[in-house]
Amino acid sequence: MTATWCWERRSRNYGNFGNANQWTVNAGLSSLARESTQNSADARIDTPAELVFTFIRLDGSRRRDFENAVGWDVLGTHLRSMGGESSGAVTAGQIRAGLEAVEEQDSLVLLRVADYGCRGLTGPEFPEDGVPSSEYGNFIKLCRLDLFSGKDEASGGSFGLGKAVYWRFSRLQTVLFNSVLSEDDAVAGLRRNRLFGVNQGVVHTTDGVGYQGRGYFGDPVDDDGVASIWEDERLTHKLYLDRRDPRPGTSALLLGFYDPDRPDLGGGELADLARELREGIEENFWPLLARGGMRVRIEIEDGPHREEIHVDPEETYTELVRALRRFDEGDIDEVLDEPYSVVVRDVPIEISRRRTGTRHNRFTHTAKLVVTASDKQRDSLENKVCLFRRPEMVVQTIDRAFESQTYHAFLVAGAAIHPDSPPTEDIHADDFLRFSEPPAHDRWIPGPRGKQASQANLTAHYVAPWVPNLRKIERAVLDELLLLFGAPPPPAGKAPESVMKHLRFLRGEPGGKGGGVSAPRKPDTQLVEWTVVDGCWDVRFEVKARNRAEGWSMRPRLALAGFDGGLDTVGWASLDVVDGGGEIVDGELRLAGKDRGRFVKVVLRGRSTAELPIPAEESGVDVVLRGTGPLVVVEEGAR
Amino acid sequence: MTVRFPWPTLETDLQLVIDEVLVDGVPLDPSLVDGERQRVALDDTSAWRELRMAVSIDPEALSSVAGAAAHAVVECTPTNVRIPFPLDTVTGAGQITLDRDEIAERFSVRVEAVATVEGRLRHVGAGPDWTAVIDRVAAPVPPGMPPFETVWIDFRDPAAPLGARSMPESPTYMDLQGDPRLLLNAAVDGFQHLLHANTAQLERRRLRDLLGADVARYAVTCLFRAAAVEVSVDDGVVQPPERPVYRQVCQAVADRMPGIGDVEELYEKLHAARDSALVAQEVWGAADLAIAALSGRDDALVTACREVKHA
Repeated sequence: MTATWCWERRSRNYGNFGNANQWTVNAGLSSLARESTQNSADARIDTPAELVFTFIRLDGSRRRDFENAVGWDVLGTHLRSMGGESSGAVTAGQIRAGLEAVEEQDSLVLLRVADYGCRGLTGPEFPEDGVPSSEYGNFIKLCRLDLFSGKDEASGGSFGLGKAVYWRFSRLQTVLFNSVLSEDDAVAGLRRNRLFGVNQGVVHTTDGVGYQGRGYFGDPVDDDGVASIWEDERLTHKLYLDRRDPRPGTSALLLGFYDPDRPDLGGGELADLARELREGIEENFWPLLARGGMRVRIEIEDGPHREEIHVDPEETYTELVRALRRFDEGDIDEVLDEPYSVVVRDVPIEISRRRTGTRHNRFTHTAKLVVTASDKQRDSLENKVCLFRRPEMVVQTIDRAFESQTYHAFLVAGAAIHPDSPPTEDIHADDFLRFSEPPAHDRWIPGPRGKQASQANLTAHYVAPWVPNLRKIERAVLDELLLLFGAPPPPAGKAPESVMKHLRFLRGEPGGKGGGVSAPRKPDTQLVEWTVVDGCWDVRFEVKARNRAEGWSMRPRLALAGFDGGLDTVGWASLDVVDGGGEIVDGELRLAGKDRGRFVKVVLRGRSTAELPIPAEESGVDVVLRGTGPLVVVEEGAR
Repeated sequence: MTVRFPWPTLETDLQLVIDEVLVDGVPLDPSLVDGERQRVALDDTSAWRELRMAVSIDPEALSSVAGAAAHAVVECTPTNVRIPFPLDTVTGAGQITLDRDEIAERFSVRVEAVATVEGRLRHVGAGPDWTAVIDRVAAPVPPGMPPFETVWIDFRDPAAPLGARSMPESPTYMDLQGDPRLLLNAAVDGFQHLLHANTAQLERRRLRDLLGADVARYAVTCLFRAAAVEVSVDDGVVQPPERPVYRQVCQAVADRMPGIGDVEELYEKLHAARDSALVAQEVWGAADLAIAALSGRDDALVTACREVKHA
């Protein structure tokens, strides 16, 4: 049989300009890591399963050979036609831009995502009338249907959208598959190298003929079908879809791999892409990898250059991996007293009543909050609580830092608590959480308005309420963290520094001036000369004040000190400025601010009245300043 | 304030040195005599009957006024005692001898100098006080310590004062029945953690700073109002409040208040405010503003507003 590309003739009744599902998948290699790893994790039949990402760069003759094998003549023609529709469709524009990029570059970049120890593309070839949907295998769900998940309980996805990740990261919206099945899943006795390709294009016209958007690479059968090609090892080899491991699973080959977030980087440094992919896998799947559910490897085939990276989250997230393993062994500490010590706290999650499928009443599920003390190595998950359930992918994190300690933590919920034999209620809880997740599977806890998680699945399967149940998860986690790390009670009698720092001016000697932290603010005065003349005090004194724009006004007064320490202020017979920039107006000293200088100074001379309560010769004297304030110039007529 | 006299006075203050303290003939631990802060701690000593203190000044400090002589003057307000002890004009040394019955709580020792000027005995100089504490309760607030006790208590607790129990949701209550105590309500969820969150960041820090300053403002306001009640007039002379912490608050508020030259003027206005609504409005309005600035509330508010402006 000859593999070729086929598109159905355009329908009079309906036209599809691209697969909307791909827009539910975020761009960025972290998203690629999440979605593709989740797809394989859901399909596991072995433990550990294996997942291998291979970046392949083809140049020169290798590229030409590949293009011949993939039927580039036909595919390219149809892609160009699709690009011609770009004025009316986003995907068409994408395809046009992707095609231009691929044809302009010397090398073609492929990404192969291959899993081993997984189900593979099982099941019949076509979703025909006599085949119930319960018998659709993975092949039909992946290659021929949109929005059909049909995933089991306690699996990763629930929307049937995760597979869109493959096309999302192909410039040409084209992906080839090669699958090996187990003996039990053989289709008409066939199980090796089930080869098939899907182009999720747009409605287009080629050579005057109108075609549907979606095209298939395989064996044309009947008038309108394209079927898988089985056991053509030569073809699979030419298409770089060899599977080196005999275990069942699926290899997906993304043609013209790129990151939609950075379309100019697709053909760039493969090592950088590999590193980012590894970081995304570790951050999102450290529980799965730590428990040995899957091994992940990243390879680079760049001409003669070969590189292999084994993804090991224990290098990056040492605390979390060790804590999870200790939790699984039941090896728990009483207190967090040193790095890697582990404590566990119960977090209740209210599960709503389910009215479909495996029905149940509402109940309280006990999730486990596992907290460990951090080491000195910084990483991206410190001071965060990773939330995960059975697929062992981190759904979201609750971020909360405490002043007293750096920690790592995770909330293990649902069937992930006892993964080997989860109780029925744990499975029910896992389902509830799965249905609470939006298409991107990145949230349980509803966000504020505008960032609400999708409620569609919960509405379909459960009886309200569920929003408060989900919100309480965060509150319960934070309460437990606060008990662990909240500020310890202060020693008895210790006053809060946040209050006392404002009262330091009271900490001086009793009766003296408050020990204020700031510099003196009010003007100060000092007697320079003092003498008694004809029963009157004759004084010369200096007034010194902080220079400020608004200046100062004040009323100098002569104060007589009696033997009891009391002061009597008396009037002036005369008061004049003898040096400096001030002026006396109706007994008020006015000091204007200067352009420069820290202080303003003025020297005055004054003589007291003769009528004094204490004879001048018997009294002590000082000058005090009264009514100190800013210099306010009052205009005529103003109040 | 430095009062000047029409007769000659010494050019500099006289510094009194306490060379030795004997309690019933036994030398006091020298570490209990703090020359820097000018304090003598006698509160840890057991019951005694006689106290002797060897004191001295630099005799050269008297030379600027002819015939000046110095005395070490002991004053004790609780026992209404003021006793001068002469200092030798040549050596500057002298001895203070006190019987236990003559003093209580605490007393001060200060050097004062006199001289005969034109046939009249005149005060010509003095020096800063030493404070000797006999009763720890009467001890001045050590530097660095808060000026009043702070207590965390549930305001619904029967042990809480009636004023606090009458407002069980209130976060703060200043108890002025005895020595001032600032009560903070432990029943307000998160309040204690927040005020003690010394390394808080971002939003928590801003909230902590605002709340801490607001609590300080409340405390200072209560102390100031209580101080105002204690301002009195005795023989035509306005008397400051009795309690040292009240005097400190008034001094600090006077330093900040617009329209007030010094704390003496503040006392005069507080007294006048009792009889004049106009003066009362002016002085209390200005005092509230000064307290808000003094307690850091204004700074905390300005900082928080600036930081969240573009949040």
